[in-house]
Amino acid sequence: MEDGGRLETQKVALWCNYVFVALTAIGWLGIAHFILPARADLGLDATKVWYTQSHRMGVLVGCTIFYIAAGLLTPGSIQFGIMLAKIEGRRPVMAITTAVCGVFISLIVFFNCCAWVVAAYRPQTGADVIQSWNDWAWMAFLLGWIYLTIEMLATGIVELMDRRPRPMVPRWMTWFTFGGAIALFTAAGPAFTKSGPFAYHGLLAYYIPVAIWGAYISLTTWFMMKELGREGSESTPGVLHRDRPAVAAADRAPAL
Amino acid sequence: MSCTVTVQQSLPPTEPQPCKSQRLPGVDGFWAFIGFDCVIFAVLFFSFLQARHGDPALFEASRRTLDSNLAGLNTIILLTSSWMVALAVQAVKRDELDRVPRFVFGGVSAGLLFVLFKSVEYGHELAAGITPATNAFSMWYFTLTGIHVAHLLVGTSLLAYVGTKSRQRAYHSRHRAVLESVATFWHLVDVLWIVLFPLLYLQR
Repeated sequence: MEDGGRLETQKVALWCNYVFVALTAIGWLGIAHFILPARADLGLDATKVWYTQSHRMGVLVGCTIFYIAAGLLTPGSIQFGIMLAKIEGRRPVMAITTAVCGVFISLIVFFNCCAWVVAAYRPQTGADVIQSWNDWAWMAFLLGWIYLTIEMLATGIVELMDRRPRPMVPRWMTWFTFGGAIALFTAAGPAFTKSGPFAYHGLLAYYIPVAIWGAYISLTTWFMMKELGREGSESTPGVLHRDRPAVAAADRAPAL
Repeated sequence: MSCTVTVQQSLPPTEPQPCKSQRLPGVDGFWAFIGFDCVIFAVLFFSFLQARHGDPALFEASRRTLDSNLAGLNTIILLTSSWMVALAVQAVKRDELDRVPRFVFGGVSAGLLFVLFKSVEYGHELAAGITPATNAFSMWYFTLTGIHVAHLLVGTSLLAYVGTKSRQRAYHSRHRAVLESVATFWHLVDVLWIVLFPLLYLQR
């Protein structure tokens, strides 16, 4: 009963990742209109109009939803770490790295939301102040790619340690994770340009990294959820799993 | 599902024999990484073409400042290195293990030569005052070639690793997936340059 309860808690933590992705899409991309954000080369007055007139309420509501979602990324990331620690065994450096980076990203998103809310908060605020808050939020958001890259690399390294005939995460997903981790490098561009695909509203700096992030969280959660399902059925008497030798008890115990 | 074929001319005629492995070269799932990298580069190439479409005169004028002779030489160097690496994989398949390190380190040497010539080219451009901040073309030029050089350095390091391991006879015909993966990555680096060379240096 206790194990079943723990499995349920772990499933809830993983579900937090799905909720995070859904709320991000609805709140931030949709309601706050960051699917088409204020461009980096928009200019002072136009940026102020974007935040204080065109999308003011959308930004306030959407970013509120987004920071709530960011909070949910914390248990989801910790559960990523716990699932990986089951594979990595004792002293799970990589698994802890995944979890901690996920928590960092959760905090980064929280502070981004605060900055975007500040930009839209007082319509009488000066245009240069609004633009500065907007720039700061985008830089903090996108330059955080380094934590996501480290998280994804750590996740992929642990997944490669899974030598079972049917690993928790299929190998194609592991290599997708590595590819995505490296491709996130393009999010380093916004510091150097205000227009084009490397600007913070651009294809390479923004849309592709965000798509990689969403795909990584959604797909990894999906495979971990299936693994939890298998763990649950393996602990059920009378169910045979010929292709999945049980992970050693010592390895099962996460040392987080 | 087991994979079997019935060979008509062998005896006994009805006995099923295992068919040849249909696996892709390299470690399991590695082609997902290759495919993903190709998609990212395709997006980069498309974005470059879109930028070029926006200001063809600037891009053409900037293209003329590049040293296409040195880049052409680098193309030959990379093609040679890919050939060397392909020979290394063939040697492993035939269990000609003495030849493997020679071919692999031939690829490493070619990779280092590419980096040397590319550094000379960068040096000439920087000395002429061309930097990533000069204009849109130079931004794209340094970005695309920089990412490619980063790939090349990773590939050269991996080749040096498998070359060292192959000296210790770590790979043979039934254990060659890591060598194949590195070779596949090296061919990708080569193919990317084959696209980059005409895109940056030759396209009028």
